[in-house]
Amino acid sequence: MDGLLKKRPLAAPATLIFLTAVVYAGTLTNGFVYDDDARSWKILSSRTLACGPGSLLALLGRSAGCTRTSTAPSNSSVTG
Amino acid sequence: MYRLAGPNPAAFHLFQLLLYAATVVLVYLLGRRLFRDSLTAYLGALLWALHPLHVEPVAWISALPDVGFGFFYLLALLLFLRAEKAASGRLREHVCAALAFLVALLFKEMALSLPLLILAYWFFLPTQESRLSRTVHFIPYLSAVGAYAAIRVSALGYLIASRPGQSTPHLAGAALGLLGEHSRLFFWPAHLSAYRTFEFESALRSPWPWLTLVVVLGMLLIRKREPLLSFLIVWWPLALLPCLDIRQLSIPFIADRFSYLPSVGLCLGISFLLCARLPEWVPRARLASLTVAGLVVVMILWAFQTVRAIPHWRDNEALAAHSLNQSPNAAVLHIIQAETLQFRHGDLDGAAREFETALRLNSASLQPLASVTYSSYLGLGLIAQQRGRREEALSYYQRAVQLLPYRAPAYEFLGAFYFPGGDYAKAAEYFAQAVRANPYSLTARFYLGTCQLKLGKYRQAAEQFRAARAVDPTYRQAYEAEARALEAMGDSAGAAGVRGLMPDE
Repeated sequence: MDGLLKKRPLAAPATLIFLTAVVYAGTLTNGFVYDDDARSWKILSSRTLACGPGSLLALLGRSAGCTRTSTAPSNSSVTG
Repeated sequence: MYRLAGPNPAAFHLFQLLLYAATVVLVYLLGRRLFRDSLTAYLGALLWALHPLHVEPVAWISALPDVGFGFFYLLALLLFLRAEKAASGRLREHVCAALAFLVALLFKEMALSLPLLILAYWFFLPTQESRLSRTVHFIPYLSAVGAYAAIRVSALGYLIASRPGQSTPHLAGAALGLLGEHSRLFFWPAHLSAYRTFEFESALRSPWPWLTLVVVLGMLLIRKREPLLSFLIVWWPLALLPCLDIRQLSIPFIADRFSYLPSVGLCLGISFLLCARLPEWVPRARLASLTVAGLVVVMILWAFQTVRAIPHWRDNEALAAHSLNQSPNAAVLHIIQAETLQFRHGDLDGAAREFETALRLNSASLQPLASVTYSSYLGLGLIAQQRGRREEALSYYQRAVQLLPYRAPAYEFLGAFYFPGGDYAKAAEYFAQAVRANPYSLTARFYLGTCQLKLGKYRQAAEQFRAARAVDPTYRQAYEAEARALEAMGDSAGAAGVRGLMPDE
């Protein structure tokens, strides 16, 4: 077995990926649960993830111009 | 991901699964580099891939930080090992590893254990390298920690959240109890629950913390004879360290996802012990085949348990029902149960009982959480309001505000308390506080706008509705309300413009 894995270096990664995918295939038909509902993601994707308060990417977000997005609420107190 | 696939859970799940599969390959590559034996590495990686404790981080989209940090942590470790063996340009290789480590830190602060793991590697597997050279090679990792700390302080305003102090023996006892519980779950991954409770006394009465302690101390004793095995076993408590301080933990104190990365060491260690070391210690021809066969049986059982656990994460209801069955003492689950009774079945008595149970369980827990008390106060307040007991309702809402004044929901409840009676000025005051607490709250924005509309403040009302539709561009009522506010101001062209932007139903 060890010889086979050495002879075919891609066999091990390929079978590992295949077995992982087979065992976890059931997740693909699952929905969202609590923290990850659709509305949260919608809001996250729009601004919070990159620019929101508390995000560790806040600094990077700032440099990417998060404070001047056209979709920002006009009187939003979020400055990050 | 949202921009690519919209609010489609399958896309998020697929991404998480691909990242997990890539991490499994990294575990294999890491094992191969450590063992120089493909089969041992393969079985270690497979053992890790099939472990049922990984269902939570892989099946729960919001656990992406765990899967992401796991990937970059192992990548950093792999690059570190490559740097260790490199004939030249080692500092450059260590810098590459440190960059991967920084990405891991940005995913999750649990990655902070990597420098400790590197020190442990040098301790258990010493080489001829001078101390000065090691110190120089360690600098990139310390720099990554420094950069992360600077980003964290800048973004959050603090490095470590402070919680009311507890005595050192209590903290040490809790850490040992948590370590034992994680070990128990690793070796006996039954009764998986997303809302597991942690009972300090019973955890310390179980043999698991003491067994774990004995094994770890034993590894320190045999480190010269079995350096690699000792390193892999000590990986477990070292990588778990950030999750053993109860002051830093929220609900739950013990979660399956916490052992996601730490279990790499144990899985590789078990595979190494059974496939490489044991046959050498007891050189009988059949032993190697027997241990491999035993490992395969364990893998089949774990795979079966993993497949069985995945549907529990199908949706909120499935998760709550399963978790309540497994963890009846979890306060949060009683809040979920209360809300189901209150809003779906209209059972106010049952809901009130569940909120009271949540309050009682939370106050009796090792580290009571303000958020649980807060939600229970709001729930009990709403029930009192529904029953016409207005003073009692107000009292609950105000207690919630006092408890967590920076949170929006209590202000929204107070606004909604005054709104139906026509006290728009007072309602607007509370909705404005809710907006300050959470500028993304559509409810607060919309109702603040409505109050201002009623009070004749049309310009401010239009601003709130515009802000609400900026947060959610599909919020049709916000467009219509903004158009009406603009019309009230005499701006018919502006109103027509806003109506023109309204998305189709």
